[in-house]
Amino acid sequence: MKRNRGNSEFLNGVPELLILHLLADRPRYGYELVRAIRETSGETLEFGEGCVYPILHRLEAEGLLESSPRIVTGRKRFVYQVTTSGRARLIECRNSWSNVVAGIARVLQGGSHGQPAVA
Amino acid sequence: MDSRQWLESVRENLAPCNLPTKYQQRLLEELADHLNDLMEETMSAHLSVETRMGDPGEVAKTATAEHRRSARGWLAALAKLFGFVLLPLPAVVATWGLIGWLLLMVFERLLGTSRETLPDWLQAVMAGYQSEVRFGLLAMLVVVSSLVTVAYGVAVRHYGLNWRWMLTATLLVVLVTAPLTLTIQYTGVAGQNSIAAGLGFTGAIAPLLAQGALPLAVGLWFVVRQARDRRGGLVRCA
Repeated sequence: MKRNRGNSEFLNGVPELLILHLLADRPRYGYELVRAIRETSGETLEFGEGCVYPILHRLEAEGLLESSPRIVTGRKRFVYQVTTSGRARLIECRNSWSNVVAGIARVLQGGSHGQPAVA
Repeated sequence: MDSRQWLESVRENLAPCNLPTKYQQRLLEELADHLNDLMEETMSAHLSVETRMGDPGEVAKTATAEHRRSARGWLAALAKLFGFVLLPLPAVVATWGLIGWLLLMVFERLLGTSRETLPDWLQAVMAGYQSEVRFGLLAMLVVVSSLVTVAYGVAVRHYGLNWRWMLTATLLVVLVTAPLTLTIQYTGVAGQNSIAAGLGFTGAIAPLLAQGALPLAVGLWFVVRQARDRRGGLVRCA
């Protein structure tokens, strides 16, 4: 089913895209996920690490992720992985992101009809 | 601010947000784990916990916003519709039925006889105390309805739901409690064989109010409390 999602909503959903993308790669627990975001983004994304967990819980409640308690390095961790619905949402998010990036690039380059918007 | 103070601050910020207890516990548990990992990794770097983890108030606000966002899905709406609109009537009736059945079982077990062969002396006693028994059963019905309302109240508080769901469930429980008359048949003897519990639905408002007053009062208490706390939580956690 095609979801009609506005760009403003999508821009608010950047953390969702990053989380789904990294967890689609392999299951991770919260701290691992945060470290992966920091490392793969070259530490360019600044965010409060504590805010990742409420997003993870929401994605889980929506059925996009599932978690299971596992013992990792001697401690009980909630390990998250992407569900089938989560993978479908990830494809949507990637497509929307590509559209937004392409749209912004067109604006910055002056569009197909108008003058350059940015000198 | 050290990690323990930071976690305590998150806990304090979450308290007025009216989030489900289980949700808060899980969040705090994961944050504590995250802090442990962070401490192990950055022991020598002396990084501020707040710099890495974010402002505790901001974490609480994000948790509130994300939880409300997840509670707006169609599945959550369907669950609330089922639980608070469709379930109250069968829940009350089923609870009455279950308790009535248990009473009859106890009654038969204690007497060691079946209802059809109730001894004469007991029939006489039952006939003599019929009005008291009747009011006893009425009280039982009202108490059961009130307990169902309490169960709904606890659920609304636990899951941090909107007070309107509580009001809906309360009104439905009252609607089915107020006009109810339950008849229990205990012998096959005509004229002395049944007890009717309930003031009876005659169209008059007084018996209806009398029978529905307790569950209504209990339900409205939860409605007011939830509305007040939720409004407070929305202001503090928005």
